[in-house]
Amino acid sequence: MGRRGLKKYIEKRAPSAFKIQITSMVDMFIIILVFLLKSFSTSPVNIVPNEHLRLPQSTASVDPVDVLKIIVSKSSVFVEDSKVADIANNEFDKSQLDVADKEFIRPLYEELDKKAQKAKDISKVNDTVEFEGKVLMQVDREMPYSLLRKVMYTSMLAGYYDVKFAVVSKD
Amino acid sequence: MRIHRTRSNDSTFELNLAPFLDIIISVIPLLLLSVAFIHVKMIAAPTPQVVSEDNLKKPPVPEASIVLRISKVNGFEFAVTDVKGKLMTTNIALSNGILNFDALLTTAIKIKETYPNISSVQLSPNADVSFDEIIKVMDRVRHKDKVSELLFPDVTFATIGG
Repeated sequence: MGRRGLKKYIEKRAPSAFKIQITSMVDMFIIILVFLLKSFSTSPVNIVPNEHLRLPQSTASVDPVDVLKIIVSKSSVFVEDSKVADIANNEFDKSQLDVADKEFIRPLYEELDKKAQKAKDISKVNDTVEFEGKVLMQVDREMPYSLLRKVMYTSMLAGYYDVKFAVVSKD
Repeated sequence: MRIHRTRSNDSTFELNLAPFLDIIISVIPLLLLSVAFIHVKMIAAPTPQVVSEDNLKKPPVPEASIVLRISKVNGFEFAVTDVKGKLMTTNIALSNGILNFDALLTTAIKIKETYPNISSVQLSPNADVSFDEIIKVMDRVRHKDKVSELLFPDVTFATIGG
């Protein structure tokens, strides 16, 4: 191979730059983007799938509001993120119930009363904040009414009358 | 002729998609963080409020009311009390051992036709009725179907506490 031939061979063999075909990848990303935009949510209620907390389905169409949350799962009761009572076999432990009133869950009341007092104290110094007694309950769908009634009764005594239930939309 | 061919070749160009791709790749993680595959809604069920003694001393204003009892043994029972205090009850038996929600809706529509001014129902479930069944009952008595007219939109609980 002569010198001229070698030069031609090198020019053919080694292209200096190449382009990736990204059009199809952009198409794919646009489809993902549209799907994610459709599922985008700014809801104040975030449900983490959990075997102890499965919400019932409903035809309700009202979006949840950002208020105090009580979570009643199969194993425990939470006020916001703090655990206040344990549940075993769909019943509260007797030590958590009041001696005189078996419908009254003392640790739940203490936590709710604390939250209510805090909200009332804030409303005294800030006119835009008002204690409305609203509470959003996330209750497991298999929970019996006997247990739910105790939670509602205790929250009512702590000043939280306006109970709202979180449900999963059938849509 | 040769010049014309060259111009024709120049008119085709390749769009630079790299910056566009950069933007999409930045946006997708943000959207993934705020995506919700479960759409959560809410149903209001206010509980009775504590009233002052002065209010209790006032004579109650006669008004019609509907109480819906839910039992896993006896089914549903509508107890309607009209303004004159006359009580009318309607029972809905179980269907194949389970609560008959279709018959509940039919009965609720009939009661609404008889008492169009009543907008609230007080639920009185038995202790063993599950929360899922209570929500199904609330759905049936609140409206005929998702888009049609309301039946009894204000659902409260009659038996809270003691």
